[in-house]
Amino acid sequence: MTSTTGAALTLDKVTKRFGGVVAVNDVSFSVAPGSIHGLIGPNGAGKSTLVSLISGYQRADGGTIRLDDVAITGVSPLRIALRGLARTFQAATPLQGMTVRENVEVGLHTTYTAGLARTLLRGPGVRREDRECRAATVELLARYGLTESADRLAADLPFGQLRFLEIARAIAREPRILLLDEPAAGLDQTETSALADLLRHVNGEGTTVLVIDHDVPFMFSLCHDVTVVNFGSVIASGVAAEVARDPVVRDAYLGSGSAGEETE
Amino acid sequence: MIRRTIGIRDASVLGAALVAVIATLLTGSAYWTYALTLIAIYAIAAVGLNVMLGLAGQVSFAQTTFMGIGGYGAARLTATLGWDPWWGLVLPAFGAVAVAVLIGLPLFRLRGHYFAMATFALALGTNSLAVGAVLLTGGSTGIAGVPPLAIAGLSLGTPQGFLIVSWIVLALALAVFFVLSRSHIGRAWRALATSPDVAVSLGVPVLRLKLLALIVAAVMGSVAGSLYAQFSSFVAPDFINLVMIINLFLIVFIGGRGMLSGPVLGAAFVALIPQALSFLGEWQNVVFFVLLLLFMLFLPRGALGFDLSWLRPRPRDSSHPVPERTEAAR
Amino acid sequence: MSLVIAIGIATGCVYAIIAMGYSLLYRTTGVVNFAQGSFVVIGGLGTYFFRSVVGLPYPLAVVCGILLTGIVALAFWVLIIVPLWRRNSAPYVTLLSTVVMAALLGNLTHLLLSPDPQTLPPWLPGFTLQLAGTQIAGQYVVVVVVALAMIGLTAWYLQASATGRAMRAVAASRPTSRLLGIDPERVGGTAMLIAGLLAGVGGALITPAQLTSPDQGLLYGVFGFVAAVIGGLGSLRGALIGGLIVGVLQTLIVRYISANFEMVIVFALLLVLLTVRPRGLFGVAEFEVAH
Repeated sequence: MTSTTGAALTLDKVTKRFGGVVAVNDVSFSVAPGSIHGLIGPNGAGKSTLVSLISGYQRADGGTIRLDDVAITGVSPLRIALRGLARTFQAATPLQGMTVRENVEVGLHTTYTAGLARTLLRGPGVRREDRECRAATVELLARYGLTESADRLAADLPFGQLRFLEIARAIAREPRILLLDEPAAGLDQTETSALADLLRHVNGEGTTVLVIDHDVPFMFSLCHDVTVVNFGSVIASGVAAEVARDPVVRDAYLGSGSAGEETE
Repeated sequence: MIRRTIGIRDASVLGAALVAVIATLLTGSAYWTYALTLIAIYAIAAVGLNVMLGLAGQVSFAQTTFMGIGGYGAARLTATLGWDPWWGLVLPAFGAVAVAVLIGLPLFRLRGHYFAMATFALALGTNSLAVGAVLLTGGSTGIAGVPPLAIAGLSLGTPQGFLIVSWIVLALALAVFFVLSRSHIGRAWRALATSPDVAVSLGVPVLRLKLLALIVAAVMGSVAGSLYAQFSSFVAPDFINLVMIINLFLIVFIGGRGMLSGPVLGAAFVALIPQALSFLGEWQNVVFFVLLLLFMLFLPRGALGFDLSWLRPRPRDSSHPVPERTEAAR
Repeated sequence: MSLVIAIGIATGCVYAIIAMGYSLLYRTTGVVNFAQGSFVVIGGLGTYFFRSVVGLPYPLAVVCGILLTGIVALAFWVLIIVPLWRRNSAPYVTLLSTVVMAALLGNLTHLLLSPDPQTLPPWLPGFTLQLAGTQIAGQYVVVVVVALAMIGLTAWYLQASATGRAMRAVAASRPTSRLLGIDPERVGGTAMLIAGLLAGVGGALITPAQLTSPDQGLLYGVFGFVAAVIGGLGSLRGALIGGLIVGVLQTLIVRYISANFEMVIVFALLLVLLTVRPRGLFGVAEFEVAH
């Protein structure tokens, strides 16, 4: 994988209401380019809504979201994706009826330039793109430990491997920022550890990483910066170690223990 | 399921078809020459539908509209204007593509249901336009005297000529289907068929790809319509009526949607079974429709496709529920 | 002209009933049922069958015709839709099954109930209406009155009853309602039954005013769908307004332009509508956008 330049993400007073409920309330924070940023909060705190808003699947009622100084509020999710934003979903999303390999290959779709005519004519151009796609896929599958399952149906994968596949698929095209929606949910200790390593590697290649989760030890050990949300509002944001010491955060969310210890 | 290489079922069906065509050419059976030509023409239209439905997962009833454009286009260009029949085969396809883009651009932005229903209204609308626009289409009586294809003055209008031409065109259509299904376009189609949200997140241009599928389907539908007009030497609104609309779906479902040989097997069924069932008289159609429903329920992979995976219990409403975090998992 | 509009309003009420069936079922189950129009035909020709072939007295025949429609609708639900749901079939397969069902019902109606178009005696014999110097059949008035009453009754039932609440729950989320102990299949079946019975009433109402023929099912289905879309798919209020609009428009087109073009113009209208405002008049925008 060649290096890419991490994108910066800024949220400025973003608000989203569903009927009478304010799911996201005046949320502002910045994700530094090339960093690993965590968004922590209990369930129902508005985290997933934020993911939808940032990636364009829902439209904010107020505020601005910027990707590298370009406003993306109200832009379609496809255009946002083409600007270099990749994401995973909270629910497992294997592409049905397709193998593990094919899932990753779809992730590489944007690397193709061949249209209908060239694809039909099978000229040297499109055949080269096919070869490159295949090679990139093999490499990704190896890195994510999916080589043996390459030709199984993605939907048949064990849960942990499926989650890794979804990440591999999302970063295949070397996006500039990756949003992960609860990537550690349902993973055991070994898998969580492997996940952290993979994300550090992705970040090492230059991609900005924004992780949304509520597994506190995982988040604080992985992320450079952390933003804590509760009831749709930001209650703290900054360097991970400082946020962990913030008394407001400890009272509201971390409870009597501090980050780094096992919580209940 | 699209296989990487041609599977056993596809190979056997296509092999059997090839044998049948050759045998018919050698023995000169009039019935089989006619039947196989008709099968090929239906199959060409069905391959187009198979691209939309089987590959891209889009329900489009508009195939008969494209067949109508092809058929009436060929008729007017050749019978009325006296142009070379090859133009009658090729030019209407451009018209069909234009219509596909015109319809697709606004409608593909909508949820599947709206698109499907709109294409259904389009198909019925085209049928009634064919009846009503007498100046354009000759109304209920249609247009007669459509000349067959010719190469260098030599008419291919013999039964054998039609048989060979139609199966060559079908082979081309199948080749297009095969290449596309194995390509990155085919993968993107399959992704958007089941998970358009995920596809979008990967940067897959879903709208453009849906249009592409419709364009391919339009060309195939139009060519099938033109061939039909030249084969029957006339066109009338009946060839694009409701029965034809449903027949195309019947062909795709019985043959196995998404499968390469599906349209061939399905077309054979639809063309030949009525002979077997003709003793049922007016109950024929009823049996057909019931058959189609049964196929949709029990044999989603079509005849000889035997997919019994539906018998295995699957969780309802979701395929992979996210498990709750437990103590042990930490 | 007022004659044409009056007839348009009456047929519009029938379309409203069909549209209501679409919207009700769609809200509750996400299923768009193209056989909805065929149910109307069964209502009308079923009544004819029970009266003229079986020999029942007219009121009883109407009841039987309506019940027959309800039974057919429910059978369709149980035998086809539920099994497709259970197999986790793609939504388009379900949609296709409703189209096939519509064609099948058309054939069965032709073979079993009546091969020819039929009409029925008016509900209030001798009742005619004076309108702008001409007389129109009183049945049209009956259609409007009864249709509006049925629509009002259904809307009230959905709002006030436990079943109605259950339907709203299933419309919001199938898995969640299951967790609440509501069975989406049952609720969907109820919605289908109501839609079927309503359509049956519509058929029994309109047949005395106009001929009903066995192959009209899909035509009714398409017009009913257009009505539902104009009003907003899923909105019951919209179904009524949409139905009236389509009814009046259609009769105007047939009278002043040409019967041959009614489908073409309706389709063009649908296309324009879907392009400009897919959610219709009262629909919810949520339903619109795909990628």
